Amino acid sequence: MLRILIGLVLPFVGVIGLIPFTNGVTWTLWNIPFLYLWIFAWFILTSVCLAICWLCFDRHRPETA
Amino acid sequence: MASFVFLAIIVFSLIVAFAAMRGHNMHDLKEYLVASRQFGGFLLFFLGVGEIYSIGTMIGFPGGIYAKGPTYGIWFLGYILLAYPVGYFINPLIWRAGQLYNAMTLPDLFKGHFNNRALELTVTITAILFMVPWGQLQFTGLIVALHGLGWDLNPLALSLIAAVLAFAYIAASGIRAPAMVSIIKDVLLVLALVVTGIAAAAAGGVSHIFHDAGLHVHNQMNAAQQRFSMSTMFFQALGFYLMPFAIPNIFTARSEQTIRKAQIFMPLYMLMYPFLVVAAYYSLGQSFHLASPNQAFMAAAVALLPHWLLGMVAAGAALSGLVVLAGISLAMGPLITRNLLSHLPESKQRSGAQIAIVAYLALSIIFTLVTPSLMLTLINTAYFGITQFFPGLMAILFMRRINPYAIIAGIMVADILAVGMDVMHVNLDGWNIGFVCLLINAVIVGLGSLVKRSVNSPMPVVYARISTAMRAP
Repeated sequence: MLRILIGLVLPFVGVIGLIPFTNGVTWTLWNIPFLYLWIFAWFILTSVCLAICWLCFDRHRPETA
Repeated sequence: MASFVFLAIIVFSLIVAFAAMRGHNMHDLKEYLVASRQFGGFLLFFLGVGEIYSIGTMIGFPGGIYAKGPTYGIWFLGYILLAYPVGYFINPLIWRAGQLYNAMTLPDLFKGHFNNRALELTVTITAILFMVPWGQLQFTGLIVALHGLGWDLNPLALSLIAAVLAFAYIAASGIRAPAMVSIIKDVLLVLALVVTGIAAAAAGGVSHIFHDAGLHVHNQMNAAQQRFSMSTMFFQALGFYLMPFAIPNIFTARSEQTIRKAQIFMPLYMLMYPFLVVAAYYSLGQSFHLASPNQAFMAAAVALLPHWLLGMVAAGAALSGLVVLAGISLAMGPLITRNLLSHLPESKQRSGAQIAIVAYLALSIIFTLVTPSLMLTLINTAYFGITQFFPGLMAILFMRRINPYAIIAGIMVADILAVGMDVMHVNLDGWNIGFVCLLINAVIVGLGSLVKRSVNSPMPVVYARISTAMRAP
């Protein structure tokens, strides 16, 4: 199911699954650790994932179901 | 001056709450709780805002970062964030189940689906018990807020003041208060954390703040911390919408589509959290001498803000704690009357609910005094129990032939194991205790249902269709 892949699996992989990788990044912006920058970015990316789910799949459902 | 502003805001909110109650009798509980299932996306969005910008967020989150560095910062942000995609897929189905079974509470769903009294009672009682750490979270935060105002009293006196405030609040305002007051509270709280974050950034400069803090805390997690952070995020994201006070919010929606639309935007209002991270790191770099890490945010506010603004910040924090306590009491009412004491006459139900709410608040205060805890740890403890409803919920929504007694066994074993390991300070090499217990829980539900299949298995909610005619009036 592409819908679940985009809306659910992708954010979980981005936020949890990639932690072993992001935790190793020593690059900082204004000394802010990369771990925070990464998760701040996902505030927006998660919304984008859900918006794609809505626009491509769920928007076409009948209002009652 | 700070205390004056604080008291003025608290009194004002009480008046608003009291005014909101006039002209409404207590019998429209259902109307209030699920708002006749007519809320559109905008109101749902606001209910959601209220859920995450709470005293646990404002005071607990910076305290967690102060005590444990990025490990706690990351799991806290991550579990809330990932709860939204979970909600996008699950909440419309919870709503549908609510329609099918005419539900007002979480146990109503189990009762309606399995028609099994023992399961209904198990869910009801464990839901109530695991609200105690959540109450303790609010009281701990209230005490920190009062302390930050310069009310330099001993913890017992501060707890008593917090208790009196909470009882007065709930008694004077009744059930309508949370909805009215939470708007004041949301505005205050968001203002407060943005103002404090900006003040911290202006005082030190972001780059400077994180440099100073970096001398006290690591930027990276070690292997065990990484496991804790990852397993906690996953585990708590699944439990976020199973909180007894979160479920009725879902039922207030107008339709499944309304819920989906509201969920899309929810991650965006987490964009206030960077301000809190800045405030927390500011505290870290200042080497304040704090009696408890929980005071990290208020210490920053005290150091940075003028008195009147400090009063506003403390009032925002305190108000959110009081609103949540009132909200929990409100959610507990139907748990007691509908699910626990449904066999008793109505007058006994009502007095039973009142006794239970008072006992609940008293127990929360006692725990606050006896076992002072890091606020974010209290959030962990509450989820140890609450997320264990997840396998049962999956059974209701998606699965056939699940035996309700297997669900009961799963919840009981997982709860007892989790609390036991928590009390004994068992360390599972970093893994979140509740997460490990959830896996055991799921195995019990699966195996138990294989060994003894449910005879008359109800249809999973996902296959049910709600026709317009069936919708509750």
